[in-house]
Amino acid sequence: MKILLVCAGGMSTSIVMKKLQKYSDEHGLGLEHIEARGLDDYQEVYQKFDVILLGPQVSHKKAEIQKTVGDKPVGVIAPADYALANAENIFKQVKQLLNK
Amino acid sequence: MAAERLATDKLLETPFMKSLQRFGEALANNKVLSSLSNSMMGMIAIIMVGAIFQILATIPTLFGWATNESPYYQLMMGPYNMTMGLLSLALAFFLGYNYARSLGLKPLINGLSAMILFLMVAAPIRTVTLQDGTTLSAIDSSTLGGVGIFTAIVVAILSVRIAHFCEQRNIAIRMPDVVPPFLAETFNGLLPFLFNVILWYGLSTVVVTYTDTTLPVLINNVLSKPIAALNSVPGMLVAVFLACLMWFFGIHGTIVVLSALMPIALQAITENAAAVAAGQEPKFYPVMLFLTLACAGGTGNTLSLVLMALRSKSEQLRAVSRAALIPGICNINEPVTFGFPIMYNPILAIPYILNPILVAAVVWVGYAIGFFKPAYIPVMAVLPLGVMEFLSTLAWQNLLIPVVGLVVSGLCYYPFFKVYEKQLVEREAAARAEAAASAD
Repeated sequence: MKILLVCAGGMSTSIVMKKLQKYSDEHGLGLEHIEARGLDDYQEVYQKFDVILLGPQVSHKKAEIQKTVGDKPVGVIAPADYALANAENIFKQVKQLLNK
Repeated sequence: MAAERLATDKLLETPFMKSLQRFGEALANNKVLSSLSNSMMGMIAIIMVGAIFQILATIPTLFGWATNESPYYQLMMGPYNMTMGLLSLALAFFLGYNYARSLGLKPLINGLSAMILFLMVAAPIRTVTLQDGTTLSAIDSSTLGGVGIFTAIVVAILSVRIAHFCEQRNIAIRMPDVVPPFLAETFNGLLPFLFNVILWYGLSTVVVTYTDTTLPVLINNVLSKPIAALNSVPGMLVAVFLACLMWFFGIHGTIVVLSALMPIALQAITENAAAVAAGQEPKFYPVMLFLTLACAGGTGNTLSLVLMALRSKSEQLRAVSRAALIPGICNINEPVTFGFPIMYNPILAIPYILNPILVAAVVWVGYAIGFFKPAYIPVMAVLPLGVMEFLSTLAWQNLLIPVVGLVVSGLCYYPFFKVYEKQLVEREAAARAEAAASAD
């Protein structure tokens, strides 16, 4: 599984990124690759990923991003999960997105 | 609890709040603005490398070990001159590239043609005769730094619009099917570029011939009125207010507003850099007050709020503030905005929107009496508390800007924090009682 995180500049998402990687390593969830990118450069890399997660501060860009990435699943992380980097809930969301 | 939620939802459902939210989203989704902010972010590496060499050049002059004429200073300013000094050139390329991409055009060729068109109007090659009688073909770099920023923006946006128009009207040289696609594409870009060259070069020639100015000067004159309105103390207070208001709706307001202000800020800072290099004092520009929006813990100066909540009786506030402390010291505050939360929370929104305006007012007084030093080094990144304020001026006084931010924002947040904390504690107690009751 490969996850791409997108926020405005790619900074606050990098906190979430580290938490997700750690949680996956501890629970054996098989996260092969995770990357945090900003709105200005996610276009160059999204092809490599299975699922794209947006930070809540860029949720209004979801339609535009979905158009760019075609049929790849795009989700917005819930504000409360994002704030505390709640890896358990975020992985649940990823699973739902991938099963759709 | 149910009633109180309802009241909040009702407020957000009012037509006024709905239209505010739509306005914020429209602003954030505007293609010109978002291309501009992407281009600005794309240039941060170039700006920062320039700033590093400028700092290295400036530090010895502060101690009197070198002057602006020293070979050391000149050597260190070389990379600065080729980064910040050519900033508008880079901006024309990036903006042409990003705007073309957002319109679904070929980005590379449009970025490149925006850059060439900008050079054509801003710094056409001229042949000058040197003192020893030899001639030199020269590009005047004086308009390629901060001065040319608005020309670069206008040329890049309009030239891409023209290419877009040509594409929509199918104005292109058609190649027969036997021509390889790569070659056909190259020819597709030919006509729009030719039109652009004729238009911009023609316009520039007309302006130079019939008026005493050049096109960049004309563009700057036309734009100077609206820019002056924005680059004023009241204008900055409105900008700060707008950015915070958008965050309340969960939109990254800082980036939206910053994309409009960054060209102005860069121009102010490059002018100050030139002044300092010439041995003068840097000047204060109101655009510098925008930084007070996020000088103590990220947008809305939320670090004081985090410090208050570390020992809160509410479990939610305690958990969030622990997670938010270290990012907050680094001026990153998404955990606060989404976790306290401030987004869609009218109680905390009041001090969140109000305090940066008050901090800006206090800091403005500090600038007005000459205590704080105006920035002349373009440090454009999210950095830990106080680092940007210091590095952009190399003045210790400016380390007090975050202190002002902490104290003023703390005073604003405290009463609202107490009200909100009380609500949360009651809510959490009710939830616990409910859980205990259902367990029995």
